[in-house]
Amino acid sequence: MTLLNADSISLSFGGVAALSDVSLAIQPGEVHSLIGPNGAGKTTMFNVVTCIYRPQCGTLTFRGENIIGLKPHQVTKMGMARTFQNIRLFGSMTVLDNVIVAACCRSTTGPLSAMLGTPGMKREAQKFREKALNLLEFIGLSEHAEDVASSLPYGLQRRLEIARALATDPELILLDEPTAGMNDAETMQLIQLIAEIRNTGKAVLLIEHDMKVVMNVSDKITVLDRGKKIAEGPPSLVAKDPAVIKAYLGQEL
Amino acid sequence: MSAYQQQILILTGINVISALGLSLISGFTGQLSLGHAGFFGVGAYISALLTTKAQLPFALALVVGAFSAGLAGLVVGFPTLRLKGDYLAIATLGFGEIMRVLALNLKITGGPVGIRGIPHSTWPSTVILLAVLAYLLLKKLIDSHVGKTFIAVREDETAAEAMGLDTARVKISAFVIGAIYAGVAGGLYAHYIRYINPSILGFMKSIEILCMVVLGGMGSLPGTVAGTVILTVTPELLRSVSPLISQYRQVIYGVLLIVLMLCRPQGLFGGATYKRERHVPAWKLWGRRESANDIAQR
Repeated sequence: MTLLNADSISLSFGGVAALSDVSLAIQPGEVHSLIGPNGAGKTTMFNVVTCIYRPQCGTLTFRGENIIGLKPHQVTKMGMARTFQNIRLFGSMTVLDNVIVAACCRSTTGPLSAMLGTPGMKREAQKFREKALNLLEFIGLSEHAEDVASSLPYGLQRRLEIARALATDPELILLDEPTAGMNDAETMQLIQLIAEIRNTGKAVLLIEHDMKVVMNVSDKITVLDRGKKIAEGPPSLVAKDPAVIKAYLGQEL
Repeated sequence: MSAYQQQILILTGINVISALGLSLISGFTGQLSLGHAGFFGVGAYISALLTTKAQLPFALALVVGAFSAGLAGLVVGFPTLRLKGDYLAIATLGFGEIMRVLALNLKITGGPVGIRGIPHSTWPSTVILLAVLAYLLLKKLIDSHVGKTFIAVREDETAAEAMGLDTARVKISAFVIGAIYAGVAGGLYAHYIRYINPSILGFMKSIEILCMVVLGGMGSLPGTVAGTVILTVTPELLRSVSPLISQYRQVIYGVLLIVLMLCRPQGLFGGATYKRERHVPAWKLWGRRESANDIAQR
């Protein structure tokens, strides 16, 4: 069964068609990359898929259910998590708390139980704490657990964003330019991390400019240019596609 | 303890309860509210009406008053789903004014005269007990994982929503709990002063409480208490120093506020919860375009 199915999505802002007739299908457990020049509509597509924007045309289903019109938090609860291109951590909170907050996506405790400190709330707090510590271990941030999130170096902040997204127990995780601003060593670690996430059976939708990363990790690539899909397929085919080469390098004279 | 000192103690305790409520709404959840006196007034008026007109026992009236304020918080909470920052502030300001005008014009609230002859039921022990309880309950909430979701909404609402938090629900919860706190404070006030009129719902009252929260430090519970104690007691202390100071005490009070905000823009206890951020005093920032945060992060 297709995990995420976006069909003929169109969205324009004023007179600008940010997306026109874009379709995208993601299978469970695959790493799917979304590439294209700046302004191609990649992040817009992310925002449509996570229900931050509502498309003007098209259908969008996740795990077989229509998600158009849902609120972003409802989509996250269904099993879709994301990171942001411009890092959006909870800056003044600790690294550990950032992940715990995301785990609260599955919380059943209300503020009243928290005020009274009920046993159920304490059990849940313990459970989330352990889950968050495990995730920090997985992502390699254990030693920074008690640091303030905004004090982390840039590369680690990006990794923390991924840990936070994973804490919501997603089936599909959307990464928006996770290697932006990273050096080569950090990029290599990230490629490894994406492979590990995939090994846990989660699907990944990746926006990325670094072709080394894209060619390395993707099962399938979708190429956007000026809001339109111009190519789709496995990395080896997309890399040779004349339309893709034209969009990236300009037309041959 | 003289009656005068006792009065300062009681008013401080009442303000602490009310300010703790606003601290949750504005300090921790980041929703700027300029209508807190509205909730305070709902609690005061409803409980006073219940004890004077319906002869209900004080404790019951206090509870009903608090829940009525909570209901008002629910109503005010809904605009927060669409409004942010300045716009929300204006909307909450409007709520406070509506409450004041209602109290001023309704027959049952006694119009401009207000309600007189409210039984004296608030004692220092009641206030201290409730203030301590209010503090402990809120501390329990803020320290829990549930409390962190409130702070997450303040830090970045879009990210909080994307992490699967129902931010609308979090914000409304904050308004309801904060309003209940103000409602309790209002009920205690009415049954201590024994006379209430629409002036307790005024805009300046909301600002006064907000000053306490901001002065103490947004997002700090000890700060909220410290800010409240300082802003309630200082005007009284200035009154007793010398006739000259007493005459200009409101001016001195205003100057003190300005100086404090210049020296510690994050408030007295602001940033205490997360100690690692370095504080940069305001005078080092003059003429610079970066914020204190940018400089602290260097």
